[in-house]
Amino acid sequence: MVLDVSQRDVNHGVNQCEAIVACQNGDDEAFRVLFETHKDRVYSIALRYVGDSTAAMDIAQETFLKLLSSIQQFRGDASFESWLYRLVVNCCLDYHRKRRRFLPLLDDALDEALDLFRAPNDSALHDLLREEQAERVQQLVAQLPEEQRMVVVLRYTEDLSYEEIADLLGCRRGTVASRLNRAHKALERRLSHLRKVSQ
Amino acid sequence: MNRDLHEPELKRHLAPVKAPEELWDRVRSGKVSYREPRPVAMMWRRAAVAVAAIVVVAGVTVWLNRPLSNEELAVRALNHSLDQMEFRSENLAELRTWVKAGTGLDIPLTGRAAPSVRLIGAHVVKAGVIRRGSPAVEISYRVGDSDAALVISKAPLQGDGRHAFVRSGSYHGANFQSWTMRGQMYTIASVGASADARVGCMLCHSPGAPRPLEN
Repeated sequence: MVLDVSQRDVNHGVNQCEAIVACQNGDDEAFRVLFETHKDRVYSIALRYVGDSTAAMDIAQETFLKLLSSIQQFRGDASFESWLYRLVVNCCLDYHRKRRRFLPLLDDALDEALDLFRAPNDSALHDLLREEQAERVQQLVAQLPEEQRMVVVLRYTEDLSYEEIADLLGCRRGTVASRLNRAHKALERRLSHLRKVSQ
Repeated sequence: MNRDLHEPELKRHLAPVKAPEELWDRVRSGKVSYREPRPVAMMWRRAAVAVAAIVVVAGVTVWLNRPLSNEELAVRALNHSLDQMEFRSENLAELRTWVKAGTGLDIPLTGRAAPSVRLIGAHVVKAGVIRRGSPAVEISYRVGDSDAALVISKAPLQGDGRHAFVRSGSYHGANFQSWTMRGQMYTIASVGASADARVGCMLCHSPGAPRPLEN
């Protein structure tokens, strides 16, 4: 079965089912359809998680390669989107672990200590934040502990519900709420400075 | 913390973005390298397959050339055709003479089998085919509707004239029974309408039904 990439938006649901089956049968064009359909989602999660476009490209690439190598295992018990979310989440976590292995100074345990050195100098921060406000927020999120960061990304980038996040991460809804609450607190002080500058 | 104040801000700054165009090229190049292992990896893989094939062939060769037990020889003899038999006669005395001359084995045949027994022929198994390395003889015959075979070889223990039971059972659909007597190992196997291996006893124990084996 050969699918036309340009038709992917005509009837997304039907085309995706066909593309999954065709991809499982080794159809390269079907893989392209799945890639085109989900590339922005995958890249966005990776970018918001690591806060760096180069690393996000690596994670996105790894995610789609894993999709290709493991799509035979997709049985349709859950939605394809959920399955894909798990792939990208796992790739993000793998990336984080590898990075921690080689850059122990960036360990989460030191984040709080580093905050002291990141204390805002209003004038310098004003210039920086005015030009790169979005990027700065992204970096602040990227400095959150791993488990809080993923919850924040899935919540605000993908707009997933607490239940959906809990299902993806294999934890309870209360755990998601707790992680999100801690993430909000950690971001509060820094985001307050951003808001002052942007006003 | 005022979550309502921060959530719109987070949503705005963490909104989805478009993936760079070069992502497809990255995935495609990774895909090629994923599907085509490097030459060194391919070489090791081929070497592993070759070693595995050699091991399998060697194993099969060793297994096919392993020393055969009397039971295996007897079951094999049940399927012999006339072409595979060097001796073809229905005369038991001629058979005894032929076997003794060719192998040194002495079969205590009485000279006359039961009326239901029809001797077909015999085949000498060369030394080395069986475990003890001495020649053996396979005798093929029929008892009524059943095919039967008797295999005789040297036994490690001398023994007397009594049947010293060794083992019995079935192998490849045939029933067999083995015993030693006077320094020789005997195995009879039969297959056919009568499932009892002891129908083969009628080659030597004539006439009437086979006697209970002596221990």
